[in-house]
Parts: sequence; C-alpha cells; structure tokens
Amino acid sequence: MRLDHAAIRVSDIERAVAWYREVLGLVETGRGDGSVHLGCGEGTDLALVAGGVGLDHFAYAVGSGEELAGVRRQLHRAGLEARETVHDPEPDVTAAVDVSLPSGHLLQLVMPRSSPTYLHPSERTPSAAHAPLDVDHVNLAARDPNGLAMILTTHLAFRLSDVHRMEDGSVVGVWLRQGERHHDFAALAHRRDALHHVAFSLASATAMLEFADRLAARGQHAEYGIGRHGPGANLFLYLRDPDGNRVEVTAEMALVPETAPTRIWVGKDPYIIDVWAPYAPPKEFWEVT
Amino acid sequence: MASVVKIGHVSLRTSDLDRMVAYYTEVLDFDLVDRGADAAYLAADIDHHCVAIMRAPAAEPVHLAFQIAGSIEDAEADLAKRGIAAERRTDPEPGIGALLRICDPEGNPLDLYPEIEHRRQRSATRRPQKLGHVCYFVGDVGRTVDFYREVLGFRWSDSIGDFFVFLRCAADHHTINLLRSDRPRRIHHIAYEMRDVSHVQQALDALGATTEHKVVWGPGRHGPGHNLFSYHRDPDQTTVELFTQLDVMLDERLGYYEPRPWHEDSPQRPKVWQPGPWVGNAWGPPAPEGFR
Repeated sequence: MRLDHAAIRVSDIERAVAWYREVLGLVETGRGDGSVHLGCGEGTDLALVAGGVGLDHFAYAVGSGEELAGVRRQLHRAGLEARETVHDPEPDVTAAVDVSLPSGHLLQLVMPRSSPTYLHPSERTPSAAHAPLDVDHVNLAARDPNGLAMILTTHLAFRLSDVHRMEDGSVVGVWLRQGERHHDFAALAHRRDALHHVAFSLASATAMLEFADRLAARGQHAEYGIGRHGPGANLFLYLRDPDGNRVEVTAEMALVPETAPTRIWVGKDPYIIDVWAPYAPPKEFWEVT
Repeated sequence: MASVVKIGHVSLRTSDLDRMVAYYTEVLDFDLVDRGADAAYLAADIDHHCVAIMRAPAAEPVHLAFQIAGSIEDAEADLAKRGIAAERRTDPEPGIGALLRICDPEGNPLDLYPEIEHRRQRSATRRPQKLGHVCYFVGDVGRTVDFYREVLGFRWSDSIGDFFVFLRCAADHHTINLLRSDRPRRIHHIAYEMRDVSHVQQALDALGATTEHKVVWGPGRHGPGHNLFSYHRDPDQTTVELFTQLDVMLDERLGYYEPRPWHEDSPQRPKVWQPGPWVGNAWGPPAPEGFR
C-alpha cells in the first residue's frame, strides 16, 4: 500500500481551491458532488470536501483487487468493518472501501485506475514547476496514538518507525511507514481525535526556502519553521489554509531500511521537534482541526 | 577622509580562550592562524585573521578593525584635521604592520589599517566565507551614525524606526548595524557570510549536532538587508549569525539594491522601515522569547 491522497473539509470550497492552487501550487484534477480534487501532477493528492473543517478521510492505494480483498478479510478478522465507500470515489479510482478506525478517523482503501508512477521534473509544465512532488504524509491528532499504531501495524502491515514517549511511558507521537520513507502516517497525542496536518513533499531544501519567499511575497506567513524534525529528520514549514487546516511542506525525509528497529524518543526535549533550534513552537501549533 | 572599505576583524575578550578557539575551529571550521598563551587569531577568508580573541578577565567595549583606502599618513592627517585623536601603533598584532587606533563617540576602540597580510586559504567547505558585519548597542544612534558617515565614509542603508540603523562601507547592505540601548558598548551579534542556502543548511545541521550551539532564531529572512539569517550563541553567549543572500548595492550612483524577487519595493532603496511583525522575519515566525 501507499498513501494515495488526503481529503479535508473546508467551509468555502472555492476559496480553498484558490488557496491550494495559488499558495501550494496544486492543480485541479477533477470535481465531484461537493468536492474538488487537486494533485501535484499525476492523479489526486488532495480532495477538498465542502462543509466543516478537519479530516474527511485519508486514503491508501492497493495494487490489485486481490490485495484489496485480502486487506478486507484481514480487517474483518480484526473486527474492523470495511464497507463500500459512501463518498464519491475519486475520478481516478476504480474501487474504494471505507474503514472507520476506533479513533473515528476514516481510512479509505482505494484501487487506482492506473499504476502510480513518479513525477519527473523535466516533464512538468513550467506553471507547475513550484508544485509539490506528492502528498507526503498525514498527521492525525488522536487521544490514543499508540492504539492507532497498534491497529495499523498489526492488521495493515505498517511499520512503526519512531515513537515519542514521556518518561512515564505515555505515548505522545507515533510515526509509521508503508514503504521505505520514514513516515507516511503519524499521530500525535491530543485531547480530541482530529487532524493535525497534511504534508506535501518538496524537491529540496532550496525549494522550501523558495516556498517561504513566495509565501511572504503573497503577504502570508508560516506558522512554524523552517526547521528539521527529530523523528524522520525531515525539514518542515507549517502554514494554515483559510479554514485553519494545517499544511506542512517538507523535504529530505529519511529513508528507513525495512528491518530497522523502532527508534524511541523520550521526554519533553524541544530538540525532538526541531533538532536545529531549541525554542518551542507557537502555542497555536497545538491547535487541531 | 579615512575611508573604510571593508570590515577587517572583530576583537573579543574571553576568560576561556581554549573554549572559544575550539568553538571557532571545530563548530565554525575557521582556521587557527596564530596562537599564543593569551591570544588567538582566526581566519575565514584570505585575510590573516577576521577574529582576534584575547584572554582577559572582563569584557571590553566593542572592538572592531576596519581596512581603509589610502595611506595611513593620509588618514592620520585627516583625523588630525577633524580633531579626532588617533594613536599610531606599529606591529600591533600578527599580520598587520601598522594601524591607527581611534574611538567612536560611544567610546568603542576602532583600529584602522590600510593593509593586512594575505594567506592561502585551506580548502574547506563548511567554513563561513567572511566576516560580514557586527551589530552593536549604542547610546546615541544619531551621533554615532554621523561619526561613521562623516569620518569613516559609511553610507546609510536602512533604518527600523529611530532605534536601529544599518550602514555599509562597500556593496554589502550592512557592515555595522547600530541598535539603541541604555546599555551601550556591547555586541548584539557577529555575522559571518555563507556561500548560499545549502551552505547555511550544512551549518545548521552542524550546529544541531552540538549541545551548546543550537539555533536561537531562524532560519528566516530579514526585512532590512533581506538576508537569510540564523542565529546561535558562541561559548561566551555572544550571538553569532550565519547568513547568506544579503542585499548588495553594486554602484552607489544607482542608489538601489540589486533586484531580488523577495524585495518589497521596486527598486529597493534605502528607507526607514516601520517596526512591525514581519520586518524581523518575512517568512513569519518572530524572534522567540529570550532572543535579545
């Protein structure tokens, strides 16, 4: 499986479409009933759904009907119901099932119409030159991040890359991967189950700095960053969409060998969130949607 | 006029010379050019040194050295004509044959010299490429600015409100920046120039790997000067900036900075910036509490 797209809710869909196109550089790939699909160049990476804020669902792609059937059997044995999606399937998806996680987050499993490929910089139109390369990861707020990690590793073959816990053993963050990139899914402990952010990959650190400059030129400003995270070692810059949904742009995510043991980060050390700088993020950074 | 053409070096006092030398050579990758029992001279570029560190029990006022155009005799004559006391020192420190010691109106000692010995640089990728500027606190901004402009030939580059002035002596947007304070004669920060953004990033990773020199603000992009900045502290808790992409005015007659896509104005000319949330960092995150 691989992360296919995230779907987030927005109060004013046209305003949001304009923001994600102009600020993030995404291109529109299609429209459904009350939703607009955007991508980095190949397929859909982000679906905007009219009404509310926060996460609608996040979707992982499976490679074949057999794999999808196998995953459904596995989920059924785990006591998790996988039902035919009630959403419009994305335009480039042939089948989709919804899985409600115990946290209330909705995981969608989709079968893309065509095999995913990689974006080649030389094949991008000049107008999309600043667009991210791909949706990178989703980071959920969860009352029980460890519980989510257990389900995903036990039943859906995720690997647990890193765990951040306090000295008393309470888990404050989990980072999981399907492939060899350090995380495509993460969850942070929070008093409610919600969305912390959706991240998009940029090609390089230079592209991140250029992103920050373009943002400033538009009269907009980052919430937090640029820095380098402890878990995943990725560079980060966080900003908010017009509804307050948080978006991260990121680069240089670590690659993790399949057999690497889980790395444990302990305590409230501020270097964990930014290994370059010890100062804490602004308190707004802990707001979720 | 004793016309300053570049910043030469900054002289620092420390109670722990070994610790400062270790920081400059190991963390910043400077070359240690000369080392005595009570003094160390460190270099970044081809100048014999751009940092002089003396063992001394207490700090002293800001002590800077500038390279001047023309001869030491002409400078001496000009200063005498202006009634500014100048003391000529011969063989004052390694690499410098003669200099004039004067004081700015705040009582900071300034050394002016026409020549410094050049050296062959060690091939190194991590080391900053030069001493860029020094920012210090002054009691009377207006009087100090007048002195640097009229006596030493500095030009006004930008101000923030009436309390922060940036002056240049060559193409770089600022060589000194003067910040009003009721505790003057202290360094706010010393800034070293990096080649480009990836050079800054390398340095940030190197600082991140230390326990004592983590970043205290940045990376971000300043308003005045538009440099991409990052700040950390040396072992004596002096703030050190590593920057790149500082504005440059290639020709004074042009009167504006080389155009950059992040400029607010077209063209970008010296101006008074109104203090505001994005003047410090155009990208957003302001200086954290405790950044001074």
